[in-house]
Amino acid sequence: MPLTTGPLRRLDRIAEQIGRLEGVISDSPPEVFPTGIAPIDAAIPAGGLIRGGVHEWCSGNGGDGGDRVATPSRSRRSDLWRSPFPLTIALHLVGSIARASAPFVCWIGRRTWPSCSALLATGVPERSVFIDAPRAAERLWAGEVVLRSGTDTVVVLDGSGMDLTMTRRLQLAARGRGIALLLRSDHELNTPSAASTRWRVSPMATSGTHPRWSVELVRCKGTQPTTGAPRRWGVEQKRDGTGVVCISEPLGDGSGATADQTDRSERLGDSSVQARRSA
Amino acid sequence: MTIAHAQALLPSGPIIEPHEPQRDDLALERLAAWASRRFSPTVAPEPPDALLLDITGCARLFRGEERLLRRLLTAVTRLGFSCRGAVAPTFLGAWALARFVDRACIVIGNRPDLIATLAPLPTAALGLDDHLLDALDELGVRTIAQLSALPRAGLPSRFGDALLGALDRATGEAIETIIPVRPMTPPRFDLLFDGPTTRHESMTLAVRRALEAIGESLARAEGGARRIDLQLLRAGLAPELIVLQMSRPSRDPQHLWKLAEPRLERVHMGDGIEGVRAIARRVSRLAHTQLTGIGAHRSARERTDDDAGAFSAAMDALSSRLGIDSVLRMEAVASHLPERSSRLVPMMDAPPRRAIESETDAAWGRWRYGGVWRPSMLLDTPRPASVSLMTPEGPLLVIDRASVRSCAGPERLEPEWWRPHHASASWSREARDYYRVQCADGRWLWVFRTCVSGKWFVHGQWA
Repeated sequence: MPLTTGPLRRLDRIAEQIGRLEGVISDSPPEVFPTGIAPIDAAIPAGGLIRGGVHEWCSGNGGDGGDRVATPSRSRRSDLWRSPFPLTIALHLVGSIARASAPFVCWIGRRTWPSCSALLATGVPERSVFIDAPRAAERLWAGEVVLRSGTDTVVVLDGSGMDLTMTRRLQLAARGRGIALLLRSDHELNTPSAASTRWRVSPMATSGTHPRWSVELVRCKGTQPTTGAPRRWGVEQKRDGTGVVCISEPLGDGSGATADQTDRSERLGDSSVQARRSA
Repeated sequence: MTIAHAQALLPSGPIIEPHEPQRDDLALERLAAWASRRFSPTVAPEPPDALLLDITGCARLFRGEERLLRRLLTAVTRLGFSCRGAVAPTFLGAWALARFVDRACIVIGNRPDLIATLAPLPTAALGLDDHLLDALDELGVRTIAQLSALPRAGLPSRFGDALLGALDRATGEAIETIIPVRPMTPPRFDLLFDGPTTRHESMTLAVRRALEAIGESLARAEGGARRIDLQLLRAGLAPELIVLQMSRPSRDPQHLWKLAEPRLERVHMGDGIEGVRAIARRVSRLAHTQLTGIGAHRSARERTDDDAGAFSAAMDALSSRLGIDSVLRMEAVASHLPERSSRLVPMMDAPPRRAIESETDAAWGRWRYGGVWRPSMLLDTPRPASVSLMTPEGPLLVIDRASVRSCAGPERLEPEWWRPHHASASWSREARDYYRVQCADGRWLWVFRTCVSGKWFVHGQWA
């Protein structure tokens, strides 16, 4: 509640000034990196991924409910193929951020390391650093160090095993000039987190020759979760492999989705409400 | 002899390496620096293949000139070189003896002996130019004895000053000069305590002071350290060594301290620390920078430099805690095989001198081949897959219990027959047929079959 009397009002103003200096209060709107997929950008109030935020991308596992065991990230890549992170989308996002500014990119955790040729297509291989940190605490620490370095950075972080406190710390660290993409597996979709947006990417069957995914905005800070209209889109990898393009208007209205998919999205709509409540 | 001829003669094949005189010179200089630490402070490299040592006053440390020479020859042989040596009153004399007398170890103590030993040697032993040697040869002058028998006064007018100069330098009539290598002593700082201490604060304070002192001496030399060895001298134990490595040269005590601090916490102090020693092992140039006032205008280039500096400071912090092998960058490799087309190297091994941006851009550009489409995730090692096919050569039906929806391919990749592969796995030695396979749930896998043994593997996924 604002204070009204003379000296106290001055104190109030000083507090606001300090807040401004510390970056807690800012006049300018945060910088936004459009995802490059127009209908998805339109669905986010900010118009894209905001700089200084944590954005969570969970892999959907094609409805394979049995694979619930967390895979330790030290284990070899060959064990990880069952629930890989949505790397193509992550590469697409890193690529579109890199076109807007020239950030350093850190891939923290073995499971987030993309293949060389996929990285080449995004055009950031020479500014990429790969950090091998098996434990969640180490990954968090590494992400914080990079985000707090005061440079333009994109941190792609293996977020498996991170709880609410850890994501909050990450969010605080990202507040400067960084942007963090937190990659998680399917079974962590319902863990509470402080991320600004939370997405779910699951593979989608196609009759074409290019991989397709359905991208779903599960949660976005500053908007009400609308259970009625699921925010899902189909995307397809571009012909030249440099990113993804949107191929469909929101799914789930019967245009392209199967009954099973609609079913699942409704279930997820509920879970996003739960996540919001707990956060 | 041509290479083909040599290959035909040697059953195992000759070792072929390009002739690179600059690298030879560099190696010789390093050898000179090495010898200057062990045998004599004054050592000069004499390209292409000789070292000149001034051992005046050094011989008694080795109990005699001959012992010194033998020790030196043994040590150089151990390094993998074949070598011969000679001790003589003049540099040129020793050079000639080592080269033209067929004994491994010659020691000549005084000038008359030297002149007598040199006399039967060919004129080439004076290190003369080829055209001078040809001119002498035409006159029938083949040995040094014959050369010194010629009238001195006539030599300069007929052959120039070089001939008489060389003769006089070999016999000790003229003054010889050599340019010795001057190995740079690395900046170092020692701080010894009055007695051993087990207090952590004293140790950290001493380390801070040592790092500040190193930073100051680096600043005076306009240098920055890429590696600093911190030694904690422990009572009754071997010194504890802490190596700080930086991805860019640095002399900022704050930064160095940040790297050292977490490492100090885990130090085993034993019965107490007696002192701290810091040595900047690898130093490269780091130009002075102009300080700017608060809010002063700064160019875009300066900002980029600052960014790169802050980022590499963060990388140093990561490497020092997670280990050097955990902070990596990608390097392109000239190979068409997906598992070999890139490799990860530690950030710390970044080439310090090259203009990093342009070099790697070019290297990457070469491998940005069009039309080839690879998955976003590759497995470290391909995983064997169980498949069922419609016919033995026919289309894929099921892969790892997932039914196949569609399949594209094959794309054949031949093995690199020009590379020896002793230890590589069997699948990497065969030609492979790659398929892009879509499972029923929409996942796209990158699958290959080895052409000879016909085994199936999953190599990657469009995740």
